[in-house]
Amino acid sequence: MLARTLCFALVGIQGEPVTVEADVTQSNSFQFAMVGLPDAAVKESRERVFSALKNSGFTPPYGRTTVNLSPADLRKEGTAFDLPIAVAIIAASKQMRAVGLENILLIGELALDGRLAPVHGALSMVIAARERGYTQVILPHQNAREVEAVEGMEVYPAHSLYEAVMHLSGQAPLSAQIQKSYEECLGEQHITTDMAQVRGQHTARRALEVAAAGGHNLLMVGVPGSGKTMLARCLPGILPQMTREEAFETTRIYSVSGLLSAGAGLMTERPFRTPHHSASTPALVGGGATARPGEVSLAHNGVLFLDEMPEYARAVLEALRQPLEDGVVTVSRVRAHMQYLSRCMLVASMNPCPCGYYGSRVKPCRCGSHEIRKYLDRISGPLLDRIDLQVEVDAVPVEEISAKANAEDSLTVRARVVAARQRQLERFRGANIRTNAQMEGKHIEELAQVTPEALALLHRVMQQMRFSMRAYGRLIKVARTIADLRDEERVEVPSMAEAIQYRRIDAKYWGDQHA
Amino acid sequence: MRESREQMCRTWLSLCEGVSLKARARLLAAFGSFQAAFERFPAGFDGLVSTKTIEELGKLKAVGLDRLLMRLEELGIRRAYLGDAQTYPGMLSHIPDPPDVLFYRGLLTGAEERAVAIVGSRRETRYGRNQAYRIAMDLAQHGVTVVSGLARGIDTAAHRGALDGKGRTIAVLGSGLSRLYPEENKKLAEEIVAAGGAIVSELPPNTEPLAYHFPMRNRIVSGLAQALLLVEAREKSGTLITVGHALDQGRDVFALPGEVDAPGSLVPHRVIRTGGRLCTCAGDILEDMGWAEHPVPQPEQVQMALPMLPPDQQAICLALQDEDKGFDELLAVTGLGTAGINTALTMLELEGLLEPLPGRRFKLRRHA
Repeated sequence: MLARTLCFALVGIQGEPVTVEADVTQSNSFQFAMVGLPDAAVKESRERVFSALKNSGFTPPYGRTTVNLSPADLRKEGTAFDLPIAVAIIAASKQMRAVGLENILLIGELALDGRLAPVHGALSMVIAARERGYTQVILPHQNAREVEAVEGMEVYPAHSLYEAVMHLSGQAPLSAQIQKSYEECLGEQHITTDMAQVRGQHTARRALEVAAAGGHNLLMVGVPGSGKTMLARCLPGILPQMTREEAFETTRIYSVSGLLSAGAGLMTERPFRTPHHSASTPALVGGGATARPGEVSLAHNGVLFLDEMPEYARAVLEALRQPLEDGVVTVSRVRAHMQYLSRCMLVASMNPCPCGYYGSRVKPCRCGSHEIRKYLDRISGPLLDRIDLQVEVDAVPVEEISAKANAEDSLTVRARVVAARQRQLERFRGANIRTNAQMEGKHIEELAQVTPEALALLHRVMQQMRFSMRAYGRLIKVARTIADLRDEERVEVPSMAEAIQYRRIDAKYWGDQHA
Repeated sequence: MRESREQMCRTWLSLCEGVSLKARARLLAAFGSFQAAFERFPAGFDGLVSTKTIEELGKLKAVGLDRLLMRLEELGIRRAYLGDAQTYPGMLSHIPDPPDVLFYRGLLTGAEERAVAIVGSRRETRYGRNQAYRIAMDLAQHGVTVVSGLARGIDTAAHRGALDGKGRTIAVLGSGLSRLYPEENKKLAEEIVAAGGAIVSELPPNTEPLAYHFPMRNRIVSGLAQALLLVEAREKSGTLITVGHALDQGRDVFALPGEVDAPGSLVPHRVIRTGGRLCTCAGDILEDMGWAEHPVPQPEQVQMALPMLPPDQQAICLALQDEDKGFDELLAVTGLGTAGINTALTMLELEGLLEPLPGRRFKLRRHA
């Protein structure tokens, strides 16, 4: 007899419907065949399925069993097919009723004793199923919270193959999980690293706020131990909360990559990724035989933090430019061709010189100007050009560390950031961009609204401090964000003057030495 | 300038690195003139110069004198001959061991010329670099030629300062004129030549910058000037050799003081203690050398401008009056907000009243 069940295969972070067909013919010999482009993990499911069947009180069919995964030309990977295959075989061997099975999404890996184990990409599969009009899913209970915010879906978390079959045959229905709205999920959010923990560092605090408000990339230069990493970790907490779409996008990438811990719900906090500087290009932008998402995609909607930026291989840094610019990465491999979102903020840190102590009051620097220049040259101009804010961070004096914390907390800062972003949304309505950082030449001309006085100041600075022409646009963008934070319609002189302070490194370290 | 045959023969010898000053003296004693030496070469050279040098001189002779000079012309390289009052720098001709032929690009003159050599560490600090630059610029503005060695660090700052002061500067190389070193100063060298200065070397144009060339080069640096200014040198620094040459040549030696616990201050301070002169500005040198027609005014101090400034900028100037401060300190002392301070800082910087130091520290620029 023939039975069909429904499941989804992963293509990148998308789910594609796959029908599992099982056909069992009674005969004297035991034969099993699986067709439909299964990969090694899917092929092995035969062993898990048969043991699970036996240990769940079913009889493995004696005779010829054929399993087909359709469409047959789509590569199937992973272990999520165990449950639909097992159910299809049980139905085909007439151990349960096979009515209506094709309309219920089945997801799950089987242990040999018949229990269900969690799988990667459950959220992508459930979302894809919902988009195609399916409304029911049975999945491992460990994956249930991940999909609790998918609206219009009846989610049945199951512990074992036996429970799933009992539910499907109507003998012992499972109770559906109570789905939550996105707002309810948000309620559980907490801020890991709060701005209130940062002592001193007023320049860097302000720069973080400006970066968050305008979506600008940020480079922090400072001596070792000046708290660059901690400052960077504060950034997700002062960014606006993720919208429902953003949370889904990010969670899907994590779910597919297997980075969502079992039992974890929707990701409501913006991701913060810190790849080590030995990371390869595929690790950072995506790749591998099956074209997995890289760090830049895992940081989607969040922050990608490159600590000690000059230590990264130059080729790796260059490869980052395109994803940062386009917000999407296309990974092409012989067997796969995937697109992953990569809209993240880049935060980088570096020492001012090879020994790290140039300009420090604690320890003298041992580097000559030539060595410093060689060190700084490891970061290419085009990449620096994508970093609007470049600030210096000073080592916090000891008395500041012991002083009582009376700094603003992240929620206070976030409120200002949200207000500034709102101003940007209104200004850019119809311009197809959302933040000041995304402004291009024509936006700057038409929408930035810089007063003639502020523009005159900028021109004077460009000449006197020998900024590159490229710095011009960046300065206007940052000044625009500062004006937004001040709730000002036009970019006045003070906003411009402040912006200039955040672009000083250009002139001081990278420009002529007698600026 | 048309060179005599004798002078061409001297250039022939100078194009071979193996011919030392002593060897020249021996050749002159043996042949009576360099021209005679050239005509009879290689006869009689054995024992006076090494076999390898003879081989090299032979190759050069085979090219022919006119072709040799033409090649130099093509590279824009001119020759100044010891004893030629037109081009050979007068100061240099009086040192104990002046180069016989000086290769140069740009402009050299035998006329009386006020010149100060500025030398110092290649691993300079920000302080040393800024001071070398400032003093060189002021000297240049007072018509003094600045001589240095085109090396990284203080040398570069001195040349740069002289150029920005619209003055004349001479760079003496420890390599051939076609092998400029360091690489990143090639552009600087071109600017020096274009601005009416000169790059100078006694070595054949294609000579590599080898370590043993530099001590020899240093005698020319000090030899071209009446005074030497030392800016930052660590113990065992090569600039010590230049100071030695300057003393041997009877030049006035100045040294710029630094912080007493900075490694680069060690040598300058010792020079000051053992008879060198203290130099804090170009005026010190001008006065001590008797070059100042009028007393040179001390650089203007920033306080003069203070009452003209808006209150926020005044507050910052007052806070920085005694000592440089970090951003967070300024914030605490002035009571201006982060945004307010940043605005004032930019304005002060534009007015040239403020110098940003690394690590978000700021300093008043006392010298306008």
